[in-house]
Amino acid sequence: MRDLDSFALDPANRPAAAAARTVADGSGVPFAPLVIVGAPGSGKSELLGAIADRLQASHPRASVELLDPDALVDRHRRAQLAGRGDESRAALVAADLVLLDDLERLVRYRDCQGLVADLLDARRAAGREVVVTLSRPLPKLSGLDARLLRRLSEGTTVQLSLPGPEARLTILRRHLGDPPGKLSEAVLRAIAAADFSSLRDYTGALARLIAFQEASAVPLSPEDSLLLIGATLRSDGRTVGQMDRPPDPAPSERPTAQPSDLDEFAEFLSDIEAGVSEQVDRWRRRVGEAVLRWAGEGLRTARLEALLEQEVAADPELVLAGYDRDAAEILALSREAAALAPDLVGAAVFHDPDQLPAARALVEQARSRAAPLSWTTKHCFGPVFFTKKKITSTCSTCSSVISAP
Amino acid sequence: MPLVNFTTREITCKLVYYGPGRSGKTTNLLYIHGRVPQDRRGNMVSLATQSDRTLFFDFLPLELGVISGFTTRFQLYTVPGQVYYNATRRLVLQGADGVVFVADSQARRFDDNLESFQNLQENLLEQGIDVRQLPLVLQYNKQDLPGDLILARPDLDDALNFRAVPSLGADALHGAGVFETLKLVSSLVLQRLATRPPGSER
Repeated sequence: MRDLDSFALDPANRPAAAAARTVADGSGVPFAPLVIVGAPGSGKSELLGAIADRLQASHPRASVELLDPDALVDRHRRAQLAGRGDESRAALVAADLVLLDDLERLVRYRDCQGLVADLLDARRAAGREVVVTLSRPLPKLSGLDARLLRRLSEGTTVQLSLPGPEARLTILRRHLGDPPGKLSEAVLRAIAAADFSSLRDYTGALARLIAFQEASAVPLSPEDSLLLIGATLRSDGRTVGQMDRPPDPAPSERPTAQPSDLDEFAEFLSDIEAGVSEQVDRWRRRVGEAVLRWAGEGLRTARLEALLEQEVAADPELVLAGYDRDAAEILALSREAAALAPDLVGAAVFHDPDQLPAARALVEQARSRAAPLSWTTKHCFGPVFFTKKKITSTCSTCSSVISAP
Repeated sequence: MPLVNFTTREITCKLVYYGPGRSGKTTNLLYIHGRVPQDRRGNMVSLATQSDRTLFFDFLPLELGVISGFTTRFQLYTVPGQVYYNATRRLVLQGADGVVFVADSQARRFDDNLESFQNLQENLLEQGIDVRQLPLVLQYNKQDLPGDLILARPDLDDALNFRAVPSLGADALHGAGVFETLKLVSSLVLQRLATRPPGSER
C-alpha cells in the first residue's frame, strides 16, 4: 500500500501530506478542491494513490474515482456515444472522493473543460471533496477555460516538491522493505544522493540494483551501483543521472496539434480511389495485352473482352490463366487438324478457345478419318485382307497366319 | 489478403490497430468516426470493461462507395491492449490485411510498447503470417505531450522500427497523423492487390 507518511519526511512536503491525510480521513472542512502543484516526478500521482489507499483501508466500500484527463474524457465520450452521458456525470458527482491527476492535460480537451468545472461546482455544493494535481502553478497554466481556472483558484493549493536526499533515503529504505540486507546502506545513500529529476527515477534505480544484486553473489559497492544506474559523481560530490530528460524538441519537430482544415475524409477517399483504380487498371492493362497477343494469333478473345467490359464475375487472374491454357491447346489442336485433314484448316472452332470441346471433338474425328478402314498385303503371290476388326488373316496359299503390318 | 469478391464486385480490407493499453487505438478510431460522413460509416461497436478499457475490440466499418466498379469497404478494428486479453487479440488479428501499431510516445511506456510489439509478432507468427510480408505502419502517438515526457521519433524508431516500415508521429486526440496513418496503411494494403497470386480470394 502506498504510504502518506513517506511524503511527510521532507519538511517542504509536510503541508501537502497533512492536507492529503485530512482528505483521506474525511476530517475537517472540504478544501473544495485541494490543488496539489508539483513538477513532473515529484510524486503527485503517488500521493493521490496514497490518499485513495488510505480512504479505502478505513472505508472499504467507499467509491473513489482516480482519473487523469485522458481517462475522464474517454469515459465521458463513450458514455455520450452510448446515450449515458448524464448517468456518467451523476456517478462522478456521487462518488465519495474524486481524484484528478495532471489536470493541466485537460488543455487538450477544450470541449470537456466545462464538464470538469461543472463537476467541481456540483461536488462543492454537495460537500464532497475533489483533489486535483497540476505540474505548473495556476497562474502559469494556459489554455484552460476561465471558469475552470476560477474554480481551481477558489480551492486550497499546496506544493509538492521532489524530496531532499535525507527524505529520499528514507523512502528508498521503505521501498527496499524487510529484510533490508539486499543492498548496503552505503548503496542506498549513493542512490539517494544521485541527481535524478523524478522520484520515479530513484525507485526505478533501486529496483534495477535489487534485481542485479539478486543475480550476483558479490555485494554491490556504491561506485558500481552508480555505474549500473547510469549516474556518475560530479566534481562537487553530486551525482548526475543519465535519466535526466533531454530538452524539448524544437516546435517544428512536433506534429501540429490541429488537423488541417481540409476535409480529411475526402482526401483519404480520394487516395483510396486512386489506389483501387490503379490496381484495377493494372489488371485491365494485362488483359488488354493478352487480347492483343492472342488476337495476333488469330484467336477470338471474347472471354477477355468481357473482363474489360466487367461482364465476367470472376477473378481476372484466374480468367487470364484459364484463357492462356485454352488458347495454347486450341492452337496445338489446330495444327494437328491441319496435318490430319487439310479441309479442317480455317474451321471457326480452331479460332475460338471458348469452343475448345468442339475443337477437341473435330480433331478426334480427323484422327479417326486419317486411319484407313481396311488394307491388303501380298503373301504367296496372292492378297491378304485386313480390317480394323480383323488384324490377323490366313494366307489362302500357304495357310499361315499373318498379322496386320 | 484483401477480400476481392469478383462475383459481387466487392473489395473488403481489414485493418487492425494494435498496441499497448491506453496508447490511443480507440482514440484513432473515434477521430476517424467523427470525420466520416454518416452515410459512409456504420455504427462504431465498442466493448469496454468496467474501467472503460477496451475489452473485446472496437469495430468501425467504412463504406467507401463504388470505385472502378468495385464496392469498397474498409473495416477498422482495435485490439484490447491489456496484457491479459491475448486470446482476443489473436482472434481480431485473424485475416488482417494491414496493421497499425499505435505506440505510446511517453518514456514511461517504453517497455509496454516493446512488449506489445513483440506480442504482435508472436501472434502473427502463430497464425503463420510473416510480419515482413504484412503491411505495417508504426504510429508514435501522443507526440504533442511535453518533450520531457516523451521519446522523440528517432528514439522510438531505434527501439521498434528495426524492419524500417513506414512510421509517423501523431496526436490522435486532435487528429494529427490519424488519417495520414490510415492512408499509409491503406495504400500498402492496396498495393498487395496487384501482387497476390491467382485465386487468392479470402
